[in-house]
Amino acid sequence: MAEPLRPASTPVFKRRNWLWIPAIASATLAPTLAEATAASALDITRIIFASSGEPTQATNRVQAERRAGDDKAYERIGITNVTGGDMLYAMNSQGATGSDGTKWFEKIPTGTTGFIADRRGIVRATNVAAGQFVHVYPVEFGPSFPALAGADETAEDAMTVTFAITGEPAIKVAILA
Amino acid sequence: MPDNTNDWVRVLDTDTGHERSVRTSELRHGNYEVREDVDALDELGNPQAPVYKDAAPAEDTPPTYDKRLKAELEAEIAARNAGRVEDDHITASGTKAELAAALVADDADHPEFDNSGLQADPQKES
Repeated sequence: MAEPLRPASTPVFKRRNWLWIPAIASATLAPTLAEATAASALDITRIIFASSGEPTQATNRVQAERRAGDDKAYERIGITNVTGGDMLYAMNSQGATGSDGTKWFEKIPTGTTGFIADRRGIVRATNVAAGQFVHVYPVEFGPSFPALAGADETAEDAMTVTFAITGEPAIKVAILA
Repeated sequence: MPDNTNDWVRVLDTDTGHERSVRTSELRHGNYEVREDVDALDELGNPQAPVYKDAAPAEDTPPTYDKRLKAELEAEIAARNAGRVEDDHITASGTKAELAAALVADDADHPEFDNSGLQADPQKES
């Protein structure tokens, strides 16, 4: 028997970016390079803390109704819940309006809708380019609230904000030219 | 603290060509042109939906009638003729190419129709 296929690992440590893209025209949620690199977009990879929540999915396994004569009951796939999370991001409460330390806070007042894209397997500082694949999540942000990242002697100024996944994510879509 | 107001404004993102409604606090974080002639919110107070650059036909886009079925062109002509005096009627017979050409010529005379044959949004012109 031939040796089974073993794909190479794809490390994402230092090879992952989270991009904020406020508007995507494509119905498939494939962003264009212009959309992903516009001044209105933002790479938040080094603004959010590593402990930030990420989009997740949970699919219910439901038990099928057992027939009277059956001694076994099987399952079906039920509802899939796609959920956002609580994002913890760096903030400079004393920062000037428009400064790096306040930029993300200013860009996502409550009710802001847009898209976050997860680029994996590419070195963090590599420019976004057409042909790279991303996972895209439509999101809506709630209100930001002051928080601390860390505690006591490690505490840093931060904000927490809840984001919801508002539609079907697009998994592995290529950035368009 | 930085301002974080709830004021909305309609903008054209000059990097992408998309038009959308944003909070005023976001204005400094993008290359935006404020569209003061367009309401940022709808009548219910919700932000107007974005208008994407590629979704709207560009002004120099050639007519798209040649990509439509002949029956659709005939229906389009019949619909336009229905509300017009006979002198202003479009000739409703001929090949598909002739029908398409007649509609293109009619577009020039009647700017209320865009070049896809759809009636233009009157608010778009304001």
